Amino acid sequence: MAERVRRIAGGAEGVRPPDAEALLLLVARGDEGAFERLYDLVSGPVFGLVRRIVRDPAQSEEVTQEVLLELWRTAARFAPDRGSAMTWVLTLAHRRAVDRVRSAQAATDREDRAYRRDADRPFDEVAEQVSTRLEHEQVRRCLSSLTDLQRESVELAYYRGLTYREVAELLDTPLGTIKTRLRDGLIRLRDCLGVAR
Amino acid sequence: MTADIHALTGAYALDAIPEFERAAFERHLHECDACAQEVRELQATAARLGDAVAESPPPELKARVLARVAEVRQLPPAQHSSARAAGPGSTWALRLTGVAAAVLLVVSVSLGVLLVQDRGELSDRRQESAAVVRLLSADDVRFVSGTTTSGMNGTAVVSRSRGQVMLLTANMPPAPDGKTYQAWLMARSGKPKSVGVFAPDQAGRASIMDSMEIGDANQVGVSVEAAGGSDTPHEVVMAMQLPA
Ligand SMILES: [Zn+2]
Repeated sequence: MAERVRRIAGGAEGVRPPDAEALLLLVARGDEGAFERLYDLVSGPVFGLVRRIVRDPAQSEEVTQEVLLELWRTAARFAPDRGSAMTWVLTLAHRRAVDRVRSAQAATDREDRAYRRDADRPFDEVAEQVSTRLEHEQVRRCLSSLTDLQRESVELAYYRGLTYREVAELLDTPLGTIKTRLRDGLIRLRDCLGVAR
Repeated sequence: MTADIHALTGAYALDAIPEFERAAFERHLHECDACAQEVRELQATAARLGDAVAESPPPELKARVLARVAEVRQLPPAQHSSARAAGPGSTWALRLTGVAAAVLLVVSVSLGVLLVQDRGELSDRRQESAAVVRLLSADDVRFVSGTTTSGMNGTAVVSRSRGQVMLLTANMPPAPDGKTYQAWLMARSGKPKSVGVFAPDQAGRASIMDSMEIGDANQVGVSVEAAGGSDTPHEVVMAMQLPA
């Protein structure tokens, strides 16, 4: 019986952190040890994103906890053929964070608050806070390759949880234009970042 | 309005659609493959923006979350809704494909060593992948995973009906000079059976697959041995109970 040792070429992706996909499979089977490792892998991105949107530290922790428990609860629904685990996790985190800020805003003063939140934070603050770690340098560079309107629209929507209507009012730009800028801005980012098609 | 609706992919991927429009657009996504594909790509793009602002949460949050886990009931895997045109059979098949894809990803990015001990039927990497898929799509596939006190992780994927086991390791330091790691299958009685020697990659990962009959083995283990391997394990550094 032959015994062979093989080396599998992993390509340039060797620096990827271990395998949120595999951990999710284990978590779906009730493995608490795997959940702890998943926590170590995703809690930083989840908390960072939630905090960017929710702002208040205590509420950000609450939302982060909700998101992580939701991962535990729904791990079996993760479908790897529809996207990576980190995309799944951060899509959920973004949705929860946005739900939190929108429910906190009474419908009547929503736009008002959008303005005030904007006054608190100049546009380029987010871009500056984007970590300078090597793998994030590319995100920063790609963001700066967008037109001003594309970048401002994408940042207001993603990092502040505004709807495209709120973005349109804030930037005093027609709705249709903002919709288009959100889409073509993201498409340009996608191509710049080399996100798999 | 219909021409317009395709333009909402960006706003949707950024959660920038008001609630009432979101429902309408999600109906559209079921019918428009082009938008569905674009949304997946743009969500992956948006996630990169999220990842870029990572920030460590306060350390005490971890204990709080882990303590709550025991109280939260998990959802079962697939929803076998009879309303779906595809029917439950294909839902199941789809899910298995997903599972297989995920673990294949583990194998393909690990840069590790895949050790195959077989009857000569596996001759190239595609066939190895196919063997992994067959293992993962077995009806009785089971996963176990553990961490040693020194922090090494091991995950075993087992199918008794296929007689296969795959061991994935992580956080494994290089074997000491002149030594090697050796994987073993152990039964309640009889000698431990060598699966072969292996070396983890720089990130401490390795994937080991044994497509031989695992017989009545109830444990998988890893030991440190003199270069070239031994007949019997000496310094066991990891051992995991295999599911029955
Ligand atoms: Zn469409």
